[in-house]
Amino acid sequence: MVVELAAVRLLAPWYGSSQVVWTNVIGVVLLALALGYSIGGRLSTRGNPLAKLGVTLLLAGLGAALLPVVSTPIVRLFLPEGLALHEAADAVLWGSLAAALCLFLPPAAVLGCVAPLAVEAVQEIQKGAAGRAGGAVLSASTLGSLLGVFGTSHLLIPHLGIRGTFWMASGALVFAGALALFLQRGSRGTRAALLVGVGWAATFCIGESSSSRGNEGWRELASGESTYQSIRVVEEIVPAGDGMRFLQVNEGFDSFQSVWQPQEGLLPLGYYYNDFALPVLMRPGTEPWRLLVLGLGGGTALRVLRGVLPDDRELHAIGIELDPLVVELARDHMQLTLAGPGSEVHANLDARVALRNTEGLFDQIILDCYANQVEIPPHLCTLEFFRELRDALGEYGFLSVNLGGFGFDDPVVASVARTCAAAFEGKVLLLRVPRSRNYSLLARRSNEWAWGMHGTDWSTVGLENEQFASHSLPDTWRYVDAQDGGRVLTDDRCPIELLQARSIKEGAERLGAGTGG
Amino acid sequence: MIGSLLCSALLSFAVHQGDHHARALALLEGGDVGGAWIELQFEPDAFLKESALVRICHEAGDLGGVLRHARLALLERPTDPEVLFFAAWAHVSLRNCTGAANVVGRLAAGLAGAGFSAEEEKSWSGIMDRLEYEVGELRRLEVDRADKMARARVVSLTLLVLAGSLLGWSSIKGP
Repeated sequence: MVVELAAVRLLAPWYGSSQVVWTNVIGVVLLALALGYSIGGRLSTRGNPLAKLGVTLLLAGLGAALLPVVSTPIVRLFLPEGLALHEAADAVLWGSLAAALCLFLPPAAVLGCVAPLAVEAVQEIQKGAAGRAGGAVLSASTLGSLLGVFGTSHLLIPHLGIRGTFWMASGALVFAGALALFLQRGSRGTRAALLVGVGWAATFCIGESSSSRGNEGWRELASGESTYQSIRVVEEIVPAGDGMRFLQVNEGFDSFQSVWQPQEGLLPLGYYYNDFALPVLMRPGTEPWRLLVLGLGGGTALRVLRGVLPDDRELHAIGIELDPLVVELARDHMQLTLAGPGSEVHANLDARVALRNTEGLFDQIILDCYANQVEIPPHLCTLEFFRELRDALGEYGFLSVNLGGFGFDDPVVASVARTCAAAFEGKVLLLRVPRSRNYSLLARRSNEWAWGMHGTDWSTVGLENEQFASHSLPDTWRYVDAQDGGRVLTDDRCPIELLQARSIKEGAERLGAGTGG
Repeated sequence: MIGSLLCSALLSFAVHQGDHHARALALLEGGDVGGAWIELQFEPDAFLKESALVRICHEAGDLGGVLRHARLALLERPTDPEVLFFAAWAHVSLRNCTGAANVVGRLAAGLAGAGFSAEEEKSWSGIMDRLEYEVGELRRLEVDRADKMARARVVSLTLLVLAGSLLGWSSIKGP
C-alpha cells in the first residue's frame, strides 16, 4: 500500500495526480498483483516456501528502492516536451499508463508472490489448516495496508519525501526477507540476503533522480512534498535583478499556482490576478478594505491588491490555503506577509469549512481554489456554496472567481457563471483574461453594475488603467444570468469533472481550429 | 523582442488611412482600446476597418479576435503583410502549427512581390526569421509529441498483452 500510494506521487511531478493517473496506477498494481498471486501460488507448491518468501521479499525491496532512481529516465521516454495544458489529455492518459507499467508492474508482481508463499510458509510452520494460515496472512497484510495508507499520507511523504518513503518501504521488505532467510538458515539464502542488502544500500548512494522539469531559462528555488502535492518555486533567469517567480504544483505543464514579481501591484497583461483588483477600483474610498481569499496560494492576489490600494486605505485580509507547505514556501520565496488588524493566514483549512467559521462581512471575497492544476473541487462551485459566499459579503461586496476555460460557452465557465448568477439572484459579469485561458467571474451582492460598452464612464470601473484596456472591447466580457447556458450545479448534483473533461476536449479542438478565445 | 519586431513592421509599412481609421489608431496609441474600437465602427473601408481591428485585438491579447478579423481583412487584400503577420503570430501563440505554417507561407509569398525598399526588406527579413523559427519549434514539438505518444501506446499495449498472456497461461496451466 505504501508503494501504491507513493507511486502516484512519484508520477505527479510529470503527469499530475488526477483521476486518470490514479486509475492507471491502481489498474497496473492490480494487474501486477493478480500476476504475482498466480505465479506465487505456483512457486509455493514446489517446496521450501520460506526461503522463496525471503528471496521474493528481498527482490521486492530492491525493486522498491530502485523506483525513485529509475523513474526520471523512464518517464522522459513517454513525456512530450513543452506540453501545454490543453494538449495534455492524451499524453497523460497513455504516458502515465506506459510509465506505470514499466515502473510498477515488476515490483508489484513480485510483491504479489508474497501472499501465497507466506500462506504456504505459515501453514508449513503451524502444520494447521490452509484456511487458518490464509486468514492469518490476510489479516496481517490488511493491517499492514491500513498502516501504510495512514502512514504514507500523513507521515512518510510529508516528512521523508518520495524517495525516503520508497526507501523506508523497501527497507521493511528487505528486513522481512532477511528475517525469513535467517529463519530458513540456508547458506544460499543468507548469501542472497547479503547480496540484495548491498544492492539495496547502493540505491541510496546512486543519488536522487531529479524530479525537476529543468526548463531552460528557469531555476528552481525550492521544492517539497506535502500531503497533497509536489510543490516547487521556480524563478525566471534574468540578466539583472529578480526575475518573476512561479509556484507550481505537480505536473505544472505551462500553468502555475501563484506568481510573484519584485514590486507589489498589477502584473503584466495576461495574468488573471489583475482582475481581482477591479472591485477595489470600482468602489473607491478610504475605509479599510475587508478581504477574504479562499485559495490563497502564494499570496499573489494580496500583493496585487496591496499595490493597487491607495496609501490611505488599509487592507484587512484573511487568507485560507489548504496546503501548509504552499504557505511555507510562499513565506520564504514570495514575500507572503500579512499586516493590519484581523489579518491572518489559515493553512490546512478547506475553503468551505473556513468560510463557515469566519466571522464578519467582507468587501470582497476571492475564490481561487483548484486541485491538480485545473480541477475545481465539486463542493466549491455549487449553488449552495455561492449562496454562502453571497451571505458573507457586505451590502456592496464583490465576489471574484478565477475560472479556467476556452470560451464564454465553455462548459465549465458557462455552468459556474450560471450557478453563481442563480445564487446572487441577478446578473454576474464574466471577463475574458487577455492572452490566457482564464476567465474572471465578478458577482456583486447589490447587483449594481455600471459596466457597459456604450456610454460607460470607464473611469468609474477602473478601465482607465491600461492593464484593463482590453475589457473595453466587445466579446471580451458579458453578463450572465440564471437563465443563460450551462447548468446549475448543486451539492446534490455537481458533474464538474465531466464538464472539465468536456472543456479540455472542446478547448483543444477549438485551439486546433485556430479560433481559440 | 516581438514588440520591437512589431514596431519595425508597422513603421516599415505605410498604408493609406481614412479619417476614422487614423483616429482609431491614434486612440489605440493612447491606450484607449475601447474608443478605438468604437471609432472603427464608422470606418467605411472594409480592409482598413478589419486590419485595424486585427491590431486592436492583438494589443488586447484577443487571439481569437485577431484571427476572425484577419480572415475578413484578407478577403479584401489576401497578401497584406501586416495582417498576415498578426495572424501568423496569433497562430503561433495558440500553438497551431499547421495554421501558422500556412500563414507564414502566404506572408513569404506576399513579401516577395511587395517591392520593398532595402531597409524594409531587412526589417521583414528579421520578422520572417523569427516566425520561421517559431513555426519550426512548433513543428518539432508536434513531432516529439506524436513520437512519444506512439511510443507510450506501443509500450502500454505490449506490456498489457504480455502480462495478460502470462496471467492467462499461469491460470490455465495450474500448479
